[in-house]
Amino acid sequence: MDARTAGPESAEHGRRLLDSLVEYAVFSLDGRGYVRTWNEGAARVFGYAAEEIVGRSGDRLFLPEDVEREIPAQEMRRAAADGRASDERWHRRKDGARFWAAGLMFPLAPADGAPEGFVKVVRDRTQSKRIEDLRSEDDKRLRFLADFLPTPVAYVGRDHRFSFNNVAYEDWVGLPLSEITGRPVRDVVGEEIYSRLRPRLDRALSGERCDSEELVPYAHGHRWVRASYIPHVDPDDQVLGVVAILFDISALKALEQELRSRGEILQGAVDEKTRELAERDQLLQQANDAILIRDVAGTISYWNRGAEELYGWPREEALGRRTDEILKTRFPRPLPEIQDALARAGRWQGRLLHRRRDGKELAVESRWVARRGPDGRPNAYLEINRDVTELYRTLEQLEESNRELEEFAYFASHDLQEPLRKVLINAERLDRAASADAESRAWIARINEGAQRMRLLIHDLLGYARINAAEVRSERVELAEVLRDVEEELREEIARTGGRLESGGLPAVLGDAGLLRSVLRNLLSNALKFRRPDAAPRVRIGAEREGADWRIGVADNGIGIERDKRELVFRPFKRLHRKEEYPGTGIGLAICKRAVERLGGRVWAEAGPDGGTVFLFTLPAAPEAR
Amino acid sequence: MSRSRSVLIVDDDDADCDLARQALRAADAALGIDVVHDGAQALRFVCRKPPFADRPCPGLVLLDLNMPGMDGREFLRRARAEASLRRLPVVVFTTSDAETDCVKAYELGANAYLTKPMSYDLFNKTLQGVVAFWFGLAKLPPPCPDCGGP
Repeated sequence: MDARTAGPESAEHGRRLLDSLVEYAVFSLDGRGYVRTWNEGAARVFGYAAEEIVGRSGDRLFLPEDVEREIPAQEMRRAAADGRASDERWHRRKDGARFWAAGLMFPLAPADGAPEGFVKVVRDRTQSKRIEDLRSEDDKRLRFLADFLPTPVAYVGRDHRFSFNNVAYEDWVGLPLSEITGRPVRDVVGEEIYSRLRPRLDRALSGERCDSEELVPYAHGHRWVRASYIPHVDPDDQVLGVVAILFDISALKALEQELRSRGEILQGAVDEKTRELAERDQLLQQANDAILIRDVAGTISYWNRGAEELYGWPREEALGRRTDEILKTRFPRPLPEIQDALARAGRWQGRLLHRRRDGKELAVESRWVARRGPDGRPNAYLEINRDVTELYRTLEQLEESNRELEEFAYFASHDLQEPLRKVLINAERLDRAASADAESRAWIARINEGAQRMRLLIHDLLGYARINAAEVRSERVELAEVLRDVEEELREEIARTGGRLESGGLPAVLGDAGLLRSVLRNLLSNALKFRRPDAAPRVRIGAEREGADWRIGVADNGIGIERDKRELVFRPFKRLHRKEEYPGTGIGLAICKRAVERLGGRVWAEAGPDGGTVFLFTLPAAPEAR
Repeated sequence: MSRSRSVLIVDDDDADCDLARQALRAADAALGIDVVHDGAQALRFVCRKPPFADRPCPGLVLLDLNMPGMDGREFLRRARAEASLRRLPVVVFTTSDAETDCVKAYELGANAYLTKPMSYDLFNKTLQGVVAFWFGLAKLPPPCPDCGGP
């Protein structure tokens, strides 16, 4: 068809038709490849006006390298041979710019023999090609990306067939991709799962996103999955398919389960703790001690009932106020010393003077414990105060009585001795005087005796008083060692009386070696003294465990003590016999009693096995040596 | 110059002073013996102040502790604070057998501490022992230069 050679009317008609196809370049070539006609679209696509190209070779529309490869000629040959030739290739515009174009060539005229020319239709496909190129790039990237996702991803078409799956999906269903992609969902996942999936797929295909969380079977068991079915909608709101994404949330679920059970445990612990705290608060409230908490500035934030009672300030009035303000604390020790102890050990303990609300002064034994903040510095103090006012007073009285005792002791050791010494010395001088006769000497002897006895009494009284005043140590003492010392002290006495001492299994006790020596010395010396005239003294010393204490026994074969006198003998200066029979002041057992009591034990007498006496006393056992 | 063979008895009790004088005399008839009755007098004596300016610096002081006025402890304290008296031999001779007295006396610089015996016989023997020891066995320091004296 030749627009120019056709009848004028139809030619014009054809030309207009062709010119209206502005998107298409439509032109004709003669048998040699020279342009014969050129429509408006061709002018647009190639940039040549009709008069610029008609009658010239169409080769200029190709790239020079294609011309060299005789592409234009080949195209014509193919069109002549096959009745048409189509291809996509680069073409060249007038300005030299290349563009991608799809071309279709028809031969003009007789099907047999060489055609007299060709019609070619060319469409600029540069944009489309770019999009396609990009799309295939995108596809590759998408595949790459999808296969890296640990999450199974699938694309299901409207026909309920998989059209895309990633590698993770392959693992999920346990089939190779070739047996998933392109196949119906039903066939891949099985009837049972499909029946559950189907309503969701349908909903998603109707344009509604669908999410679910469920425990689903998969290739290797069951997994918790959050499945999302996301409709793929085109710009015209047509749903093209559904993207299915399966998030494996089994680990999350397990964690959640774990958290929940831990939460329950925690809740239980919290409940327990709350109960405990409530009970503790109850205890704190009921404690006799005043318990308070204050911050570094001294502002009170806790005030128990004990504090209310001790200080006379009700809780509501104490809270928020400063301790020094309401208690008027006086420190017997320098404050820096206390602060130093708090900084070093986080605690301090000592005596303070506080004032009650009514103005009465209290002595308290105070214990402070620092609570440290996140920066390690104390931010609050727990203060526990015990009223020791009475104790303090007693202590003062005790100190006073100790002072008195000291004075008494001095009085006894000096002032009482002084006149006694005069009596003794002058009686002696009188005795030596030449003028003294026998009768005078007998009287002088009586004076002497009385004065000597007085001296002994003063000595023993002093000893007894010193037991009360002595500071008592509490340390590990080996009784066997104490006994050895005492035996040494009494060696002469033992030898003189022909006494025999037996001992065994003597333990270590908690006590004061000096006091214990005094106890054993008095008991042994008594056992030697109160012997039977017809038998040498035999003393057995042993010990038996009695709970936390040891019970020590000193048994003799002496004259014994009548049952009703066994308590009496422990009274100071109490004697059961005439001093002419058994010398002594009667202070020994009283000293024993005081000493044992001061060591935390008790002492008593029982009848001995062979008519004698057993003196028994208890002492706290020493902790096992490590 | 050597110290004189003399003893200063410092005691408020006349009977004890007599007893001591007799006992010392019995031990050494040539011993110089002076007696004062309190610490203040004793201090004047050893400093050779009136009325004791003509008395010799004693070779030994026999010092009772409990006396009215300045007692033996105060005497010791003051004597030991005085450079010239720091080397003065002082033997405490007291009725007290209290440990506190004994400790205190040595702390104040006493050279010995003796308790007055309760028997006449022992009393004499003790003072004989003192003479024998201090004037026979012990080497005494010379009097200090500014003390002078015969």
